Amino acid sequence: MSVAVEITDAVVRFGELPAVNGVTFAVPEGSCFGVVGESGSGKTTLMRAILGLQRLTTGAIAVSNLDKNAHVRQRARLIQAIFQDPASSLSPRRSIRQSLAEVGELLDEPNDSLANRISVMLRRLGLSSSVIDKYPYQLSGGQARRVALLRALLVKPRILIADEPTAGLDVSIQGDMLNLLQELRRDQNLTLIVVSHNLAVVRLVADYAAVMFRGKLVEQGLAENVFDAPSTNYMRQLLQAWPRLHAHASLS
Amino acid sequence: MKPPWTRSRIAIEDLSVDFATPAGIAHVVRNFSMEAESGRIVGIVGESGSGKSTLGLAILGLLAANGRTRSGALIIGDQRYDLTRTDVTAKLRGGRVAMIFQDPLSSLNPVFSIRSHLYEILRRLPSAESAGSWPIVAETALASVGIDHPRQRLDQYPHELSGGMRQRVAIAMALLARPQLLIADEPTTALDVTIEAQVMKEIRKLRDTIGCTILFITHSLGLVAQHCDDIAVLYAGEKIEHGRVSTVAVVPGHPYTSALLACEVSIDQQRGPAARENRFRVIPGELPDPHHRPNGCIFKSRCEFAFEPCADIIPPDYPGSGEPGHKARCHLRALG
Repeated sequence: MSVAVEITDAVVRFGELPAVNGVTFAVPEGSCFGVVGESGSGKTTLMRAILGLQRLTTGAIAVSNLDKNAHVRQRARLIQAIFQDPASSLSPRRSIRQSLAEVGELLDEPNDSLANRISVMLRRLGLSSSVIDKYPYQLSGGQARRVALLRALLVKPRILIADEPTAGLDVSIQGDMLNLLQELRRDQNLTLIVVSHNLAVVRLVADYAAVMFRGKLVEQGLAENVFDAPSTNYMRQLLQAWPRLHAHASLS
Repeated sequence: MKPPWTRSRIAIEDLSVDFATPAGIAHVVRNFSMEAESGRIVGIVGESGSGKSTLGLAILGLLAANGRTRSGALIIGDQRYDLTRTDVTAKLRGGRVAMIFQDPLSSLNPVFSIRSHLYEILRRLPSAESAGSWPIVAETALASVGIDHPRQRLDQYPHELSGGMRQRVAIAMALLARPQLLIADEPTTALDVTIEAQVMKEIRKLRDTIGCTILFITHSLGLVAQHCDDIAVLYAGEKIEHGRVSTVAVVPGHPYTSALLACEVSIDQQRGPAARENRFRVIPGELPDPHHRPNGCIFKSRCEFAFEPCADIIPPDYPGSGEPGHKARCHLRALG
């Protein structure tokens, strides 16, 4: 199996503070790799480093066969991300149409062709076509997240990073977002890196998982092993603290 | 230190809250009533737009300028407080009723030390401790909610504390105020799961120490199942189900409650052999417009079981199951 992203001994320091401290893992192509951990564990910094938005202090991140000196725009064609707060990743001064037009510039794609793909994807993501002329503040949380996903997918990336894809979404609609990501994996063989503090969600979507604690990877492997037979006390504590709905088994 | 008042039954009667918006009057909470025995932790569960936070703010008279409590009363023991009157709610605040907010950084005053926050409570207490004892009382309060080095913490400011510590300070303030009703609005949403568990433990300890009733406002059914005695489920501003958590979580009486429970992703849920094949439950459809309440059942447009009476008749509180006190507003329950 070929590797989509390979991280070797990555270190990111902010002053003296090591936010990411010697992280090594590989994400197989077409798989879903889940990264879990608490606030401040370095999850988001690591993702920013994979995207080329954060320089490594030492170590290396190899993305498919991309040259390591490749410009961030070349990297962007291969890897896209949806960020934790989708409204803040869309420009507040631009309509959704204007924000999406930037993708055309990145890909040198003619307007007609881009507009066609946008209307196909609006339907695919369950968004009404009126969304396109709205501004980010006019969208609900669920809509904003779909628009962010639409923008990312328009680039036709091979790898998608989803940073807290369900944070702030109501339980009745978070499943929509997760089902969408699952479909994209099946239909387009997209490699997915999901970063989340939601252990229950990552446990169900990820093939492989890694647990971060204070900048280090303390545990990694097949998701079923990490979640159902953790080898570290830290992961056991996290799982134990997770609120449980005892009634669930009897309902399903 | 004894509570200044005795344990009492708490009830909320017919609370309705409106907001004036450019699109007209939005009815955000409609005719909400409930009662709880003293010392119960009642989980108020609902999604965005259900009115759960508005409910808490209305009791304390802290609605935004365009909000208005149209009707409603809070009953504590044999006392009745008219929630439409701002002078009444102002007296309740920090006295018989206290609140812990989702974001303690915005509820604690950034320019005052932790000491000032705690002294402010002591100053307002009816059974005022003598000012000479305040340092030791404040320090003891911080220590009892699990804050280390309490003496040094007294002179720190909110921004110097972590999110979990700030919530503990808010709990310590409630501990000193000794309210009969504590409203906790999503107090652990911003916290990591291990800190969340610790803060929930402190909230329960607070209840055990001062015997107050707690309205625990949350979107997390898991937290309610684990920490609450009773549950009230809100949908689009209306209470649609109420009962003991142990009953409602197992035999929900309303289809919305069932759907919410089914959507909750559980940490010990059965998993398919391939991760990419796992599917997640959703509740299709959208909340009704708060400006125009649809006729009949409020949930009918999203309900897979909706039938004739749901179209026009607002369902009353039917027995939700055999258990006394379990009520559900669903016509299906009339069929048994």
